Amino acid sequence: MHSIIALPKEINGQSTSSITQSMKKNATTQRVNKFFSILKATLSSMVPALTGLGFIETFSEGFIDQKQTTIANQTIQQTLTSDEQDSSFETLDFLGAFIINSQDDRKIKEAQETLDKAGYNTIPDFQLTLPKPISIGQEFKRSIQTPWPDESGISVAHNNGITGEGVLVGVLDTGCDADHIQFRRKQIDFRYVPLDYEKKPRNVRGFDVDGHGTHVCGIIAGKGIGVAPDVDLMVASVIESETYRTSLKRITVALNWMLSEFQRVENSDKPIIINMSLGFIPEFIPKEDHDLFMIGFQELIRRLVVDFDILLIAAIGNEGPGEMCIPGNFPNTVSVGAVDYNNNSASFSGGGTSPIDRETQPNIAGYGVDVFSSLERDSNNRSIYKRMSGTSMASPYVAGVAALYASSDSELYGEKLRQHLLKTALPLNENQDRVGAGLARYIPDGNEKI
Amino acid sequence: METKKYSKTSIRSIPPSHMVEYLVRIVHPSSEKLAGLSRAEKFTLLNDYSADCKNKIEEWIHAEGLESEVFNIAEPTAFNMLFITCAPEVAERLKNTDVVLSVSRNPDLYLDLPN
Repeated sequence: MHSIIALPKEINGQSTSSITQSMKKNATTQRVNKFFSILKATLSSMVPALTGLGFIETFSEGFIDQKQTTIANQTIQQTLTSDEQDSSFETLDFLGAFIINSQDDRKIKEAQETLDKAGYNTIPDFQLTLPKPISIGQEFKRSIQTPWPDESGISVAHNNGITGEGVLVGVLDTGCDADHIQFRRKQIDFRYVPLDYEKKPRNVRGFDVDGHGTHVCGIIAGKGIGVAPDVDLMVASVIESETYRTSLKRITVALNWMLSEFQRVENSDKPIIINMSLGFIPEFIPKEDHDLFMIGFQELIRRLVVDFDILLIAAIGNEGPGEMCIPGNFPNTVSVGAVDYNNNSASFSGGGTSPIDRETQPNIAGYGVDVFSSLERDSNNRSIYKRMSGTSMASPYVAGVAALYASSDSELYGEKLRQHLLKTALPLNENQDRVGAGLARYIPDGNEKI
Repeated sequence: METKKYSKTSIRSIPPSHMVEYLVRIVHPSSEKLAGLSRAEKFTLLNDYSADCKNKIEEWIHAEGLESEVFNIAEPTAFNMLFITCAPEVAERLKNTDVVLSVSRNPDLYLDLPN
């Protein structure tokens, strides 16, 4: 279905913006009513033109006379095929605008031409793909200090003073609320990577208008709830919270900023782990560009892992068995599936044979069902929490465990760290294409007895 | 050599409707050539290499008189890719330049995140 939005350029010789400005300055009931009566007349005059082109008006609340258009539509409907009846329009009465829908490009073009002649600007409406919700949990006003299960080895690590100190963890996400109580004493290196055409990431106080990134960061490094609370966090906000949209350019700019941090003396030798609780569904990449795009993306990941010894951890995706997201299914990443606290794989967790290298994915599993963590503060400045489910939650858990290992042994970084993480995973009674090597866990000195 | 500015627009403006953002893969040093360098040195070398490629492309744009058909070349990074917003004809011709490996459109990516 294609859609366009038509907005009037001007009403009675005045641009709509100037009318709106004038109304703001001189708003009286009389003037407002007059404005709406002009809008009504303008919209009503277009209705016969659109129905004449074979568009059916769907019901819209407002001041257009529905009875009149219904009669017109009934006549039209009798002469249209079922395909043509898919063409419709809605009036946005108080905006003086129309939304035109049709599967037929030709009809959209005809409507565009008619509206253009009648003094409307038409703009295409973009199809947005939103992620499938996994769970909507209750919000909590304070931290409930649920310890990570004993088998994770996290409390053993913390009791031995291993808390991720000296390890850099990069997070690419919606952002991070740096003033959440879980991060208040932590210095978060934050960059907002803007939308197109601005040159450099903005160095601003960490914020998050979505909550996803704050949840992810809480799992990794929350003061009271995180797996590795003392890691140095670098967070890049690369995802639009409303559309969950990003681009390879934003990701590249964010990763480049993280690499640039190696130029600081204090970071030159620190092990680095990057968590990407995000996944792109390959089908959404246009077919004609798919192959070259994938090559470019894989080269980028390869450079990070091979040349900079970065351990790159990525969620495998929430589309269920047989489905995998990129970059989780790339050869150089550690892909993470989700299990619940009883070590059963989550039904939403992706996995299977990667079409890229024919390896079984995911590589490893982490807790990803009803995981308790921080959310961005509410309007009363209260730090709140929520349980969320998804491989987005399992991935930072694994990143945190990797940070504990890197913190405990300076020889463990890059590929060695990857191998150690896989070798020490707790084998689970599930197929490899659901949980990989098993549940990521911390084992002191490689000793399998905790 | 200072190249002529191809974009007269401010950083907040949007490109003309016929221009598209392209992912341009460029020639880059192999991993073998980076062996023995520290991470900071690798970053500097790769970034400089991309900047050099960007300069060469800018010179080519200038020499071909294509400034009006190129809206923006994003800042170089340590990766072997440049993001160029330009007309499709320019993208097609870019494929034949010495420093370019491939050119493809750079689509927006929609994420799979829990709610």
